[in-house]
Amino acid sequence: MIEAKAGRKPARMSPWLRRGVQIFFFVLAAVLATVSVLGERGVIALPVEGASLHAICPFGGVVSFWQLVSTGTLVKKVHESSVVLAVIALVLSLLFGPVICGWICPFGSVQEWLGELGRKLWKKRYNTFVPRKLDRVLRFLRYGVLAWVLYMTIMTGKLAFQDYDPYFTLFNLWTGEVALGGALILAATLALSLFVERPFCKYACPYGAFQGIFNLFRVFGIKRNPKTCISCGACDRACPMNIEASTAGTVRDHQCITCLKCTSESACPVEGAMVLAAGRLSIAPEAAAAGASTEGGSK
Amino acid sequence: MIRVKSVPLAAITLFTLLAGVFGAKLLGVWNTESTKQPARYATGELAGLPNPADIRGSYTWVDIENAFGIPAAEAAAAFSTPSKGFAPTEKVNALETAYADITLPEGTEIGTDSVRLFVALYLGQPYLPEDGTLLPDEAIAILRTRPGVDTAALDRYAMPAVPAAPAPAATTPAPATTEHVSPVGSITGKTTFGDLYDWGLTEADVETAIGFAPGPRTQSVRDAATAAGVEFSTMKAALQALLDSASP
Repeated sequence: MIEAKAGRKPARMSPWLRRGVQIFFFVLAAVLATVSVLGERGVIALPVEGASLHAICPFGGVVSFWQLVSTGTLVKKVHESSVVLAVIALVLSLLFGPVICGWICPFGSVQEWLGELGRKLWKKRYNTFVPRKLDRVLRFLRYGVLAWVLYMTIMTGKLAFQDYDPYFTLFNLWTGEVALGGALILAATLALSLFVERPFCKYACPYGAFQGIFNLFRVFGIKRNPKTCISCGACDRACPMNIEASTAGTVRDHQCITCLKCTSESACPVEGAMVLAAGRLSIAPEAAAAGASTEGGSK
Repeated sequence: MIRVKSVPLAAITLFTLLAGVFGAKLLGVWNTESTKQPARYATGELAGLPNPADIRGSYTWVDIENAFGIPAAEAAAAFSTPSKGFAPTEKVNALETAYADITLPEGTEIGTDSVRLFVALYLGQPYLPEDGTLLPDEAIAILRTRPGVDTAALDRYAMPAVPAAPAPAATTPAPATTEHVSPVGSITGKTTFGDLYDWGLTEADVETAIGFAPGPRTQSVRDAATAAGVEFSTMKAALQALLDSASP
């Protein structure tokens, strides 16, 4: 049993932990994709085995699911590795929600890194430009994208999203073999990232939409302990996805990416008030009493 | 309550990913590229042989040599154009750009299906190409030297001479310009099971005719034949007979 020790300054997560994981996967994807293209073109022969982006993207496994079940084959350009990654991602999502989005997805990372620049430019105004009402509606756009991608892929047996996929475009821009649609969406996403955090993830990513569904029933959720929470709103301000964590018991918002920025290891000033956990929150009575008087929020 | 902090979360995530990939490798299911091994005929006198219908645009001429035994240099030369000579390591889908500048009649094409046709004819195997599939002159010339090839039939796939100026009625027997749409009741390479149902056949009818449960509505009959290791022409004949008998 974990007991919240309210009043104690919580141990902080090093910002370099998640960033390090993100950088690792960004570099990995870039190297694998580049080596794959260079190998295909016969430019160089490296001892490292490359892999196309389609081979290392779990979304390929998701869009291939119907064809795999119905005919035993994969959508063109999708390989078995995509299915393996989709299954691994599924397991992680059932446990922790869209941890793939928050920790691994290279395109999410790029948006986040640009967002840091945007935060310096706009200070507190960053990530608040989209009116809340409009923002709420736009958040569901990605489910439309997901439905369209699934429908088109099932109907054509081809990767319908490739020509619009900014992630694919980003890593293939140098090859010149990218579609105009993908290039425009990439440019728009990168530009918007200076104003809105993770705009593609929020409004358009079909895999993010799929992953987001797991927030509704994941085993380990972001849990707020109302007995120790001081309602400072630090978690709300820290959330890159603009989720109001400060009013939730367990965050079930479909946009959570499990980045842990809202938790007591990061923004939350009270130890144990906001945690990633499974099961019912338990708290020592003395901690609950002390929690109410804990200061440190900036609301 | 079980709490997971950031370091364990990172560790679990990395471990799950790496262990999953490693496990998949151990099980032999971690493939990051297609094997370039075409499907094989499962029945008939060609049973066990690689099926040219399964050639993909991602195959190189060398892949074709490895799978079908046709010298890569010869196959690459057969499809080279005056302005573009193919290296054996180039992919078949490069044909799309190589022939983009060459004027062909509307509805005709030299592409991956042309390579399937070339390989099948080279090996003396049956293959029903898609409507509008053509072969370059050099490919036709090579095929004419192959034993047992019906040279008259080859003319059907020849690139027609394109007049420099608007010409009167063509004298060259150019291939019929057809849209890439299955005519109602006529089975082509693009006909899907959905088309068959729209034309009045039931799933049970189709299953009886082809001998196995049909795939989804969107799957083409050709793909189903290739996946099942059956010659498309055989499946087509059975289904066409069924359609003809069902039509008033």
